[in-house]
Parts: sequence; structure tokens; C-alpha cells
Amino acid sequence: MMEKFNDERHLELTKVGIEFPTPKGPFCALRDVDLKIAKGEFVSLIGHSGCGKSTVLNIVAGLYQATQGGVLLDNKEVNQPGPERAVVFQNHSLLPWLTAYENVELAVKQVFDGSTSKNKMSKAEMHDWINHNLELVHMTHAAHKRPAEISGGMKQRVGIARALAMQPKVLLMDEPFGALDALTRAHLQDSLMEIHADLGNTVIMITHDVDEAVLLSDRIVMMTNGPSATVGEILNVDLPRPRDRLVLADQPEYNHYRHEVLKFLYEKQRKVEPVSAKKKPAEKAKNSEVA
Amino acid sequence: MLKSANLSKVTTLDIKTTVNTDNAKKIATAALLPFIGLVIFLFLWNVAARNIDTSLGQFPGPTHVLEQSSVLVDEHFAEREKATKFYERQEKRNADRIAKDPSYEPKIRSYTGKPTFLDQIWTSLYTVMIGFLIASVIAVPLGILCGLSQNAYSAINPLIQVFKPVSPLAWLPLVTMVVSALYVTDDPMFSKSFLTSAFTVALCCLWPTLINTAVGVSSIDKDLVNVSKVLSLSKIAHITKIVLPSSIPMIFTGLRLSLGIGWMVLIAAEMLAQNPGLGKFVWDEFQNGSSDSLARIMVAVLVIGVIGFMLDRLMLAIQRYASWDKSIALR
Repeated sequence: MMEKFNDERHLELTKVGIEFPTPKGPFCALRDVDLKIAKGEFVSLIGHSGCGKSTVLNIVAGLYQATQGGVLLDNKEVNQPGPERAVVFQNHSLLPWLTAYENVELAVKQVFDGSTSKNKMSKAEMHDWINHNLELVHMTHAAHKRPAEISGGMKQRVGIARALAMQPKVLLMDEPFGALDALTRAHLQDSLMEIHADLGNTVIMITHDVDEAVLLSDRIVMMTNGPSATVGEILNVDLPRPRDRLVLADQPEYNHYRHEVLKFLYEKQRKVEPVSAKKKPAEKAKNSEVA
Repeated sequence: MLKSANLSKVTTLDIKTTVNTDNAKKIATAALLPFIGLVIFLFLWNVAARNIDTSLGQFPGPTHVLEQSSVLVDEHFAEREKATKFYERQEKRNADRIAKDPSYEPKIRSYTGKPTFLDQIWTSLYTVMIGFLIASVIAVPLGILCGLSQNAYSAINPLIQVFKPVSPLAWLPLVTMVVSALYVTDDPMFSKSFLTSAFTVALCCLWPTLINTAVGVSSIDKDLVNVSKVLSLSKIAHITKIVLPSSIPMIFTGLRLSLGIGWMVLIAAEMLAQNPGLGKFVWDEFQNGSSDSLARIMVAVLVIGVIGFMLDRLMLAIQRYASWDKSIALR
């Protein structure tokens, strides 16, 4: 599988760790995260909540600064946010006062209108580019609607269009489909696979959903529980593309990968307390707080 | 069979009438309750007024006040007529003198009648608007600065907390002296009393806008700030594209509070600064002490209240227009 990606040093995370200052002293959220991601690769981060998945993503995005180690993108250090590492946020984060078109336009103008930018676009080119991206996510029909007027799935599509329109080197997705119902989610996953096949972006996606991770990813990075979370295991998903969820559902390989991830999450890295075990209520509350 | 058909007809009719009466009831309550409130108020006012004797005669009841309000309007038009007549006479006189002596340069004097009640309403509106504008032009940018930068907020917050509760009457002597000292021209564009009142209003209605803007800006959705960071928006683009639109509701809440306070402060300021507005009207009537004075002051009180209400509605209309979120209920 990995030979498909010859340039393995596209995005490099080396010994990344982060500590947050708290009143009780520094809290180590992440340590020793090593990850090399090749160009065009689709990588999922999976783990229990609170394990620092989002923190990894935010460090790659440049929204957080790693306190140890560092991130290299095409041999350049990442130390601030930028449009070449576009983020699709969990709750879409569209500007509510702009229409879908204007939301994408804001990003496009920022990336392609600057006098400094190499790939400057004319007004007409930008217009076409915005429409092209809305078309990619099948949102042309609602281009002139505000976020409040469209459904959750549609908002997330526009969020993806906005990120894609920046022509990012890396697309970072923070549980992009987490807030959607199962049918909409499946639909958007299919769209995402199509887009990824078309454009070949490098993608890092955070997910809680084992099926989603296996269906979409080339590699699944499974993270240990925090504090001081780190990469537990990395699973290569060697399934041929294009993938079809209906066909895959009956394939033993698919179920094998699924099983591997589940085993990691629920046996090797399961949360401290067994859910069914009878515990004192006070203790239970304390544990769930940690979760 | 026939019976049941009839029965169903009857029930639908019944439903229709209940719907109609429901609607009628709603309209009736919407119009009736305020009316009942008004009637009770007028009655109590009337009874109370009959039982209060002041040194300026009986306290004015509703009828007396109504009568004086029409007198005030009549006075306005009488004064206007006098003014037009004055200008006509002046023109005629000048024309006559030029006819006799072509080298004569006509002198044109403006009419110097006393301002009427309607003039004074206009002066007050104009003054409060200028004061409010000055305050807003200072408070909104300063509020944005405070909202964006914790350091700026920490630096300015103590000053805000100390100056916010200061009464306009305490500011007024200082403002008066400063205006007299600094505004020295041979051809004054504004009268000093006007400037004093406007600045006092500005000083008092700075604070709600400042505080609300700062709170609005500092409570922007963190995800939107992250979007701005990922897009690498410049500082100015960040403010105009992200910060301002998302804090518009809070800014307007502040502006509305400010305008309300400004209008209240203005009346007091005009009384003391002798700016020819509603405040001066009330003061002059009080000093005048005729048997109609109290009724005329009461007219002013009602007008001040109604204008204050209308100013608030105006701000609300502007807020509705400026706000991107038309779904939120604005009251």
C-alpha cells in the first residue's frame, strides 16, 4: 500500500508534544507523536474522547503551538495557521451573516486575490472557481442561502467547499460528520471519497466512527488515552479504491480492519471502568468526568 | 344520515366562529388593555390634580394640559407668521430705500423672536443626536479595541468603572468652563450652550456603548476566530469581516441604552446650560410662574417621554436593518 505514496515526507510530525499551563501546574496532553504522511494520503485519527486527537489537528493547523517537537510541511516548519492547511471544523463554522457563496468567496479572495499570491485570479476566474467548488459538494442550488436557511449536512458541505477552495496542501477535518444523522453522514462520506479521488488532497480526519475510518482511510492512526496521549498503533487499510460501502460490508478484509480498530479501542485502550460493572455512583460520576 | 351531515356542518361552523372570536379576542385585548390602562391613568391623574393646590394654582389636569398643548402649537405658528411679516417689511423697506437712493446697500437683519416650543423640540433632538454621535464615534472603536485586547481592556476598565456612574450635573460646570476656554472664535458656528449640552450628553452616553461593544467583541464564537486565523485574514479584514458583523447585536444594545441615557441627560444639561431646547423650556416655564406654567411643563414632560420612546423605536428599526439575523426577536 505504502509504495503508492512515494513522497513520504510531505507532512512530518516529529516528537510532537504539548503542555497546557493549568493552575495545578503544566498538563501534558500529548507526547512523542511521530507521524509521516505522504502526499495524497488519507489518514484518520481515532481514539476515545479526550485523547488529544483535536490537539494534534490544531497543532498541524497551527492554531496551537507544540511545546516539544515540531511539524514540517514540505520541509517548512509549521508555526502559524495558514490557508495551505485548510480546516473543516466540526460545527461547520460558516459565517452566519454570509451566504454559502459569500462564505466560499471570503476564502477564495483571501487566497487568490492578494497581490503577493503567485496564482492570482481575475474576478471572473474567482467566480468560476467558487461555483466549481460549490458544485463539487453539490451545493450550487443553495449558493445564495445563508447558513441558517440550510440543513446541517448542507452547512458541512459548504464548509468542505470553503476548505477545498483554498487549494490546501493538507485538508484537516475535525470530526466533519460527527453532528450529522447516519444517512446524511453516509452520503457525505461518499462525496468526500469522490472528491478525494478527483483532487488527491492530503487529508487528516478526526473521527469517532470506526466504519467511517475504515471506509475512508489509507491509514488509521489509533491514539492512546490521555493525559500524555500518543500514537498507539497505526493500521494500514489496504482496500482497493473506489470503495463501495455495500460491497465492503460483506468482505472479510473490511471486517478484519474494523475488528482491529475495535480491538484497539475497546480492549487495549478501553476506558478505565467497564461500563456494565456495578460501581458506586460517586466513583462512576468521577470517571465519566474524566471521559 | 341526514342528521349526521347536519351535525358535522354545525360543528365546522362552530369551529369557524371560535377561530374568528379567537382572533377578535386577540385584537381586542391588544387594543383594549392599553386603552383601559390609559383611561384609569387619566382618571387618577384628574382626581389627584383636583386635590393638589400649588402656589401656581391648581395642579393641571388632563384637559388643561391638552388645552395648553394646542396653545403651544398655535404660538409656534403665530411666531412664524410674525417672522414672515418681519422679513416682508424689511424687504419692502430696503426696496423703497434703493428706489430713492440707488447707492444704498440694504441691511438684512434676521428675525430675533423667542424660540417656540416646536423650535425647542428640534434644538433638543439636534443636540442629543450630535452628543450621541460624538459618543458613538469614540465608544465603538474603543470598545472594539477593549474586546480584542485583554491588555487594553485591563488598562481602560478602571476608568470606565469610575466615570460611568458620574452624574451629568457634575460634569456640566467643568464642560462649560472648558468650552468657554477653548472655543474662542469671532464667528461662532455653534453656540456655547449647544456645545456644552452636546458634550455633557456625549460624556454620559459613552459608557453603555463602550461596555457592550467590548463584551460583544470579546464573546465572538471561538470557531469563527479560528476560521479567520486559518484564512490568515489581516487585522483590518478580521475586524470588518468577522468582528463587526458578529458583535452588531451587542453594539446596538449599547447604542440603544446610550441614546436613552443621552436623552435623559440632555434635559438636565439644557436646564443648566441654557441651551434653547426642551430643558430650557421647562426651566423658563418654572421661573415664569404663570397659572399655565405647570400645564405647559406637563406638556413638555409628555413630549419628552414620547420622543424618548420614538428614538428607541428608531434605533430598533436601524438595528433590524443592520442586523444579519432577522430571525431573532428584537424588543
